[in-house]
Amino acid sequence: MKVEAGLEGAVTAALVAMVVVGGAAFAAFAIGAPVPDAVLPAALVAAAVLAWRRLRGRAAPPPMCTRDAWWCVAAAALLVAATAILAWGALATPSRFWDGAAMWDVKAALLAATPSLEQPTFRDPAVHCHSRDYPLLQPMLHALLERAVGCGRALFPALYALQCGVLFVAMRRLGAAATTAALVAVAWGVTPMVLNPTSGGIDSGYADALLAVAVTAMVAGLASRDHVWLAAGIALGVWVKPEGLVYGGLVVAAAWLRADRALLRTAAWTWFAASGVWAVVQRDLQTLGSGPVPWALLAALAVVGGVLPHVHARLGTVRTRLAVGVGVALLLLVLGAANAGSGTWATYVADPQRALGRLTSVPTITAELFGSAVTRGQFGLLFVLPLGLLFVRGGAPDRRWPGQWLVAAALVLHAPFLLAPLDDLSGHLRATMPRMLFHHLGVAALATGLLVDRMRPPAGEALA
Amino acid sequence: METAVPEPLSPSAKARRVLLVLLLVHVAWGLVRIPDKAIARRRDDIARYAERGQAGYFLKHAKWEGTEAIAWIVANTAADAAILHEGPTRGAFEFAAGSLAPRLLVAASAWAPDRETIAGRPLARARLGDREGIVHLIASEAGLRVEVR
Repeated sequence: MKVEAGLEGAVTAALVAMVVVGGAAFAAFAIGAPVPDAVLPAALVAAAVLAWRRLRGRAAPPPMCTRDAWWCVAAAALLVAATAILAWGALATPSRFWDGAAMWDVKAALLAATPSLEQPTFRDPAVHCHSRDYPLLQPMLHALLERAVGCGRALFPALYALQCGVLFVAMRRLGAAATTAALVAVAWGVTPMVLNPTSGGIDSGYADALLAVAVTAMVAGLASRDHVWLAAGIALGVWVKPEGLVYGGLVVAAAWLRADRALLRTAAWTWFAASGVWAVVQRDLQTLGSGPVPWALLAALAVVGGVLPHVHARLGTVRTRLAVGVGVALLLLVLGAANAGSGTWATYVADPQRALGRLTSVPTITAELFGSAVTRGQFGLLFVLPLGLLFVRGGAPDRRWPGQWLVAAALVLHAPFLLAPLDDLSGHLRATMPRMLFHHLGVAALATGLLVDRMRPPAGEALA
Repeated sequence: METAVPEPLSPSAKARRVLLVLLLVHVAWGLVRIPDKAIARRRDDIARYAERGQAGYFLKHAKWEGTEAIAWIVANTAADAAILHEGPTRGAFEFAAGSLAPRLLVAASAWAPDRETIAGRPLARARLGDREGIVHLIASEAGLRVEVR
């Protein structure tokens, strides 16, 4: 169907355009130049051309009967109404939640006024700058949109619509019925954590919505073997929040352990390239523009990123790949810590002893993770339903990625609470865990949808 | 007259029916909360923000002092000025940069008494009561206050 193909093209174009904006902006930052206003329209045009060319070579989506089409129209109408609510919330005032007002809005306003790092807030150590070395993709997108059309905060409802589109298209690509795909998008879209005014929610001004889109795109890219989505998700993740760097690394690790050379090549090259680009900008921010380019880190990233996809075939057993993978991860952690200086990363990686001393807190962290995910209502049933995967065997290997991702994410989400310098662990858990779970809510929706779809009766059997 | 007996559903079809019902329960749960949570609460937040302004919205909510200090600085200093600040940069102070923008907040410890500009901006000067001088924003656990020195 033309509408469906158009949606797929628009979703891909939006993902790619954000990556192009990020890459161009960080390249400009790295050479001390302002980001030209033409970057945004140029990125949109380039991404639209790429998406259109890809669509021409793809098979048409599975056919949709008239009844399914009407269900999809109803779902789309509901999501448009929800997008309107979020647009109202986003545009009525600046951010109404802490980090949005204290950090993200401030940086977006600075970059909207002067789209460059060559200004006192980023260059003078005496000038207050909240989380100076935090990734700048979201403030940059916000700023360029503000400069182009005067309403940068329209970014937030647009991200909501994009995530709904990512979910629908991903489900269809994985062979799901259109009604199931639409139900998955709606299920994510009406989840209280997504739609309600919440710390970390869509119109809160936080960068968690963009990271949620990135995580969903990277996992959907893995499951549908779409290398453009995979690469876009990883690059966006690395450039939007520090957690995104870890999630991108998780994709590389998964492709490495699976010994999937094609996915590994895309994931590794993208992750190492995006990390390298960000490392240069991060060093610039930490040193107020005076520090040297971190050549040792860049060389290590280039070598490891280039070599990994070529050597995995020679490491025949999972155990060998695991051992090499752990070694590479430790090497990168050491280099990352060396590059981190006194910034955000340093607060996490500078003191490994802290994590060992806090191992007794693992049950507390696990309990909060499950409490936030399951019992408080903010995620409804979307983290509960994928548990059905425990009782279902079989299915295509690629369709298992979302379920496997959730298991890995549950483990990874312990790390920041073990590593962060905290006085009040339980308070930090309550404040932060929902936002970290939100990053993976789209994947939970995908896992649920694929589970429902996997049990779809063959043609002719009565539908439930 | 024969009546058609439906075929029993397979275990996977039954499981799917349960999953679908739960997924629809999730959607229904989300939908019924929209009027109260997504719309009414958002409307209240927006109204409170419009009434109090950014500083008041955040500082009063957290029971911090400082709304009047922020309003006074905005009313009495140039928009391109640099405001010297002292005290912890966590807590109430975190909202000062957004509320005072485009003014810059500059650490008072970085200022030398013979300088009239800092970070490329003129220092904020104003009269407060019977005292005229350089505006300082002082942060503490209680919130924010303004001093002229």
